[in-house]
Amino acid sequence: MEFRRDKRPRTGKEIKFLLPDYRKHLLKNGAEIYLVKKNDLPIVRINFILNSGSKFDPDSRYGLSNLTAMCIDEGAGEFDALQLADEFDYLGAHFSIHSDSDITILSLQTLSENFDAALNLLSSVIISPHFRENDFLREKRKILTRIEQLRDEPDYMANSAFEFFLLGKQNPYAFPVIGTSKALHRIELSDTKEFYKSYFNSNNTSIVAVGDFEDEKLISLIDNTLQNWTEGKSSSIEISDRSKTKSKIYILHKQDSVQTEIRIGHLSEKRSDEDYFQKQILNLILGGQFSSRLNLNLREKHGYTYGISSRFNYLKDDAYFYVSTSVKTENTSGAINEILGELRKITEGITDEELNFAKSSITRRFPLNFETYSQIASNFGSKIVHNLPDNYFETFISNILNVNLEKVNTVAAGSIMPDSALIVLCGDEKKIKEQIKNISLGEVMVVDYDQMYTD
Amino acid sequence: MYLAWHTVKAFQESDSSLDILSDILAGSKNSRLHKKLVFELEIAQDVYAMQFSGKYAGHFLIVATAKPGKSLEQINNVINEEIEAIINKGISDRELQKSKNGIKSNFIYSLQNLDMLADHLNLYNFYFGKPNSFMFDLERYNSVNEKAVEKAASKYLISNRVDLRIVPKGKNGI
Repeated sequence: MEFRRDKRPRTGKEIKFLLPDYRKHLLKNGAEIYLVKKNDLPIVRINFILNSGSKFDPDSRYGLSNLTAMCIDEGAGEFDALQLADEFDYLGAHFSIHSDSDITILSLQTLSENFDAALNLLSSVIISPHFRENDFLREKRKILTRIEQLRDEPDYMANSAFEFFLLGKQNPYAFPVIGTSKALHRIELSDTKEFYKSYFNSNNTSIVAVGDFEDEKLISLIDNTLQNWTEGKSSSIEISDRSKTKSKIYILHKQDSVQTEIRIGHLSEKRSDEDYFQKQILNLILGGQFSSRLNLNLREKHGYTYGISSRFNYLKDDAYFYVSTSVKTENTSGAINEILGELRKITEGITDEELNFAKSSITRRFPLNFETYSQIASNFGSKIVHNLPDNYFETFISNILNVNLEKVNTVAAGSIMPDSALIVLCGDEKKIKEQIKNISLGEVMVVDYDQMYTD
Repeated sequence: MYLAWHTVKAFQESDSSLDILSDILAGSKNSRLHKKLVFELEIAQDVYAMQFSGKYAGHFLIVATAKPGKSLEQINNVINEEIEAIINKGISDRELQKSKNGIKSNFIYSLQNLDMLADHLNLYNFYFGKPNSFMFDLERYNSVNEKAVEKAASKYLISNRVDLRIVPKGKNGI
């Protein structure tokens, strides 16, 4: 084939994107399964999604959900921890467990030819984890070391302090998924067993399978391998106290830091079909991509930062909006002023041109979210977590295209609140204080990160 | 700590054997170094091994991070012991098969994205002018046997190496 470099290739026609076919099925053990067809490669991906994230951590046992998840594959069924990992590896299967504040996900990716054997291993992790003392202690030590490492990462410190002060300590989402070292020291093996018993049951689980399989064969395989899975109850929480944010600045001290991590934001309405698409468009324009207003201002115009972004962060039972960046310490106040300026400006509305750009960007990028088996599985996962309508993906593009300027501007005016924003800064306290002394944005509090979570 | 040895360039003989060797040493939880350093002795926070091969040269790298208060020298000794064990006693059938299964699976997983496909085509084209070398690439791993891995270890992982240790200020002794 010959490549012609002297002529610019023409843009092709719009290609119609077809979503993968899927169906829902209720398994005998009470778990719901989504079967998604994809057969361009001999791969199967299966995700088990459990309602057992860190928001269910009992008071003073922060980190229990994550630690429990880390323990269940440290020996299960007939295998000890290393043997079990070795069996997955021998099959060339990728098995991983991930926890966030809402859910625990067990995900397995294998070649189709090894799926049955790999599913057997996965079932033993779910049904018969050993929970041995030495494995538990090792995993706990691993987490404690990780917490120690994170205490040195200003990016992480700023994020976790922002969530903590924004949401408030009555809110289970305020605490880090990984836990706190004080709480972890309190957690005993029996706590993880108890947590496992309460949350790792079939009624609290949804399954997404993506790949090249026959539905009926897969269903009966799962029915068989997981027939001894205990039923239980499905779990949920309610966030009662959503106190309004008051404008305030928190400084986390990091000696001799040459940069300041900046987080600015406020609580936001929970995810709803009413304004989700408007907010996606609004945020793309404000800080959701490289040519966003925030990036053009703080990076391109002022040279304060390499990158800045904003987002509406949707948890299952809560939500907040925030801007995130890091700048050289001497640009701290300049950056804060520019960010707040952009937030104020966007409450006045966006232009038609921006709207069309955002629609085009979101809709044309949409098919890329369905490229890999794991992307498809995780998209269906978030559909389950956020309880989205059955036809959510089918109607996504038309929902974006249906948004008009007026709707975006209404949302912009009502959901971006620069004057009640909470500001978290992580860097050198003295230099930051010098920087912000002329900004009047409410009380300035200096916080000791190590003491932050102590009751 | 970083330990590095001169090895071979990309797609040369032994390149695939060294990839498999790196996997057997530190590519999985039950790999030799991970098992010893992270799991049993709990003196390292993590350990990685890889064959970095380029168009003109290549090197084999082992990287480990000591847990707080643990000695890099002890980690170094374990690494030396494990390399010697492979040179003197060889590897097992299962280790080799596991590694090959993993490589084959990962190869197929990597064909999911368009950008990864483009990377493959570009890579093959860059190294030997044949963009469609997928089967050749898979086969050069499939044909590796126990002897080839042992030979690669004894030929390249010799005493002539770089040993770089990064330690907190004032703690030279570790």
